[in-house]
Amino acid sequence: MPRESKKRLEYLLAHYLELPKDLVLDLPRVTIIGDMQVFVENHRGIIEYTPERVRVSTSLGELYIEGTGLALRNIFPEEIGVDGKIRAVTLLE
Amino acid sequence: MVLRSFWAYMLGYLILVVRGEHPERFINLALTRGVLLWDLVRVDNEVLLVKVDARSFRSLRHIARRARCRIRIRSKRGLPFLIHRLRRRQMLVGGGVLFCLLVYFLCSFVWTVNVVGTRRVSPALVKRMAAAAGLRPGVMRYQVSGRDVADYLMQQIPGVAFAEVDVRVRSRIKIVERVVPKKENAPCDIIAKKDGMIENLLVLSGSPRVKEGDIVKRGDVVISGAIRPPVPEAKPGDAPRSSEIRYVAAKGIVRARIWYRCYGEALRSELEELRTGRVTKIVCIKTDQKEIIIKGPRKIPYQFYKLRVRRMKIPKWRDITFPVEFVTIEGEEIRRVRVHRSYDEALRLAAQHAGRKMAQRLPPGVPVARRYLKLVDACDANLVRVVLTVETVEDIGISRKLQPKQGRDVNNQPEQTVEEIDRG
Repeated sequence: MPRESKKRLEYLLAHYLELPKDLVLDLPRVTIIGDMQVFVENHRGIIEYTPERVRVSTSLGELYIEGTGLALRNIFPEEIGVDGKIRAVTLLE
Repeated sequence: MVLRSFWAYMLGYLILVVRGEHPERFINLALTRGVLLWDLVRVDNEVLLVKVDARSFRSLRHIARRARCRIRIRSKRGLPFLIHRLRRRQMLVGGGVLFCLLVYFLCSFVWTVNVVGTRRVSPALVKRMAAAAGLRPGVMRYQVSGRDVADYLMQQIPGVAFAEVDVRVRSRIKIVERVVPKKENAPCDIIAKKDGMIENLLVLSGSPRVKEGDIVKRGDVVISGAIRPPVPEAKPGDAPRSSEIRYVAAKGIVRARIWYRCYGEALRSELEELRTGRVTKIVCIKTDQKEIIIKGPRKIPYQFYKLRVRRMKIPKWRDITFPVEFVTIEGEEIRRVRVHRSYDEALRLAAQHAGRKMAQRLPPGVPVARRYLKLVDACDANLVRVVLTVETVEDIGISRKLQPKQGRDVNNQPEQTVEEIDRG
């Protein structure tokens, strides 16, 4: 099965059976708490980390977190937590 | 989160300094190898601080080599490391344990006994009785039963209605005293405590000596405790009836109208002293002969001022007095201003002065029945004088024991003494 049609089938399945799409489609789930914390689930590792920006690789592309005084609170295989003053969270395809 | 940091502390963790051009590589490799990293902080371009489990440090060294980073342990935290360090300082640990044991041991004694709630019963007596029942400073806490001590106190001290004993290091005995009803059987009069006009009089026992509307002076008997039998109509042939006087404790309510007068005055034109707000402070040290100024000018540079002087002496020690004194002089500049008031303003001010005096004289909580102001002729046109009168209705009766010699007996009765009553 070509990759595109497989994805389409998965989407339809998730849509009609009302399954959580982040699990079925392997999408990142990003939780932002105020401007203090960002949690990224379903990530694929860190691309760059400086106190001003954190780039996290995901299945969709790159998640770009901008801010000041950023620190990685924890890194688990399934979740990354970023602390600090957050200014922007961008998804770059 | 708390649980994880607790386990991290229990198992021990390391704070590492990771140096390298691409610490991200190090992070990702650690992630794929299943090494848990937390609290990653980038200090500058090349330095990263990382916390990691003490047990996974070995595998990290391999990862660091592959990521071309150098790692160094900055500090070792957690219980295992603490125990390791303390193993070399056994006396310190021993001292700590000994201290705790000692405190625990000393806490098993009663150190002080406090008595609260006593009014007539002396606390010393309560303490003595408690000591007799076993509660005194120095005994073991567990050997004293609070309930037994409380029972003993209630039995032995007559004035105590209830006792509660809290046996602790600082034990507390709470006493509630028995309230003995006041004996009012002794014969007494009710006298006026103030001058006034009787407004209403309610006699509960005794014989009244005044009527409503009478003027009484302070100390006058209002209700007498001496009751004379009614004078019988003399019938020829009757045996003379006994005319013995009965003595009772006079009771009753005496309400009287009372006048308070207060005088107030105000000048229509006067010099007032106002503070300008400028203050000069001089701090100096004075000895017997000399005066050394530490701070401030030599003299206060104002024409009119108010002085405030504070002296501080070095306290006397044994027989030695120090002849040195620290003196702080504060001069507040004042300005004299002539104030002109209209007649109404002066009147209001005079009334205020009188009112202020009145507020001090009036007993608290007494309702004012009437209040009026009267002008007093002043020979001086500059002066306004008023008299403020306040009328109140107050309870003026107080009881007084029947004295052996009653000087103010209204009806000039023969003097009767308390001793005579007893004999009767």
